[in-house]
Amino acid sequence: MSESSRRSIFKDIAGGDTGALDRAAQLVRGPRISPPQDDYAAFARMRARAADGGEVFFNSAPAHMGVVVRVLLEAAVEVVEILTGSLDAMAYGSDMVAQEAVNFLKRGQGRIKILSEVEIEAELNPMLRAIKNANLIERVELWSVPLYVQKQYTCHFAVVDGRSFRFQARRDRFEAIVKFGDRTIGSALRQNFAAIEAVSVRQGL
Amino acid sequence: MLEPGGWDALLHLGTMAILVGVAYLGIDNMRGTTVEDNDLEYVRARVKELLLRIDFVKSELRQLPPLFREPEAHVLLLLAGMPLRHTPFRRILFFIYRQFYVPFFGLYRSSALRILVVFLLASAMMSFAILVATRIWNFGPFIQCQAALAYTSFALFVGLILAVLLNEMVVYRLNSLRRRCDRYLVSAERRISGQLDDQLESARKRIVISPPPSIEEERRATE
Repeated sequence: MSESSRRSIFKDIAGGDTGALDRAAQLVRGPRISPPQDDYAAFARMRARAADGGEVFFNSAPAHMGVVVRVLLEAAVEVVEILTGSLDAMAYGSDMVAQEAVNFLKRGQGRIKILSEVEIEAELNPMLRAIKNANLIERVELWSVPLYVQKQYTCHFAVVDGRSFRFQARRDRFEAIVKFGDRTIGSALRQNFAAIEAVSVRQGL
Repeated sequence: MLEPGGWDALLHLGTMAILVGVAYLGIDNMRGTTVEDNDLEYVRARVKELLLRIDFVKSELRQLPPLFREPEAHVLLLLAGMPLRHTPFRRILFFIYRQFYVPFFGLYRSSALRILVVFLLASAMMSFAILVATRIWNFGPFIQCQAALAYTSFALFVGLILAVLLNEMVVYRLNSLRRRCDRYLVSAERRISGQLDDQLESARKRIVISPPPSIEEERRATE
């Protein structure tokens, strides 16, 4: 990378361009080596479109968490249920995920239900903010999971229509698995979601 | 000075080397394309799919996953155009190991081996022509240094034949890539499936929520 392009990146950062931060990070780390995000997104979409849901696959790279959430939202029809720590930026913070969530809610009568382990300010979360700006916030339910309940499970997950999911066995690790079109595990996750929801406290948005 | 029979032998050797060189370059045009287009592309596609399935992003890894600690996986990544970085010591070990798996792959990929054959063939043809001219017409300056001409020609002819054999060996090894890649990937997939099944099993588990502990229970727990 030339000196002039480096300077322009630093100038952009100083000017408040958030994209420039990514470019600067790449400058420090060196070029990303495959598989690039686009390949991973295409790979995930191919499995989402497969008649039998395709095979289960890993989602462990932090940069790909948002990619999978986006593909899950693309595949969603009725309800998206998310058990999360705080809708963290890595998975739910990108503009594309926010836009896809809005698209999902606009498509039909879909709903998004969120069980959060910490209190979330809708204004501070890009996804919720985008939904609020699109006047669709009434189709989102946000629940707060009590501390004693949090101690009784270790996982985080997002399940779509009870058939496609991203499951993170341990909340303190990025490593997750993804599968599309699996009603058996999908309904098991929905039951778990309902069990936690039943003892959670509704938050206002 | 060579015996008259020695000159004949050298000319025969030259004829053979030139024929082998010309035939090889003709054959290699077809076979080289086949290896590139089919087997290497196949390996690339399979390895890439495996990497996507385990979500392998090299720049974000602090430690290599167990799957890639085996030298065979490193070779497959190299063939797929995604070589891993090694420490200097491991680089030497990997270089030696690689020669058993895909000998001279770097030279083959950069076409250096083919360029070597072309260069040796051109030199051998020129040398052959000078040899013939020297023998028939006692050609100019070369008649004074017939021994040097004979040694040089011999080295060029033998070198050409060896270079062609080396190329053939590399192509032969590359031709069995698909089979070896499949064999390794099957074992890798089996291991991945084991890990994925464990995770699926924990996704299936039912979460049973117990009621909140009473104040009395909490006090007892802290005691």
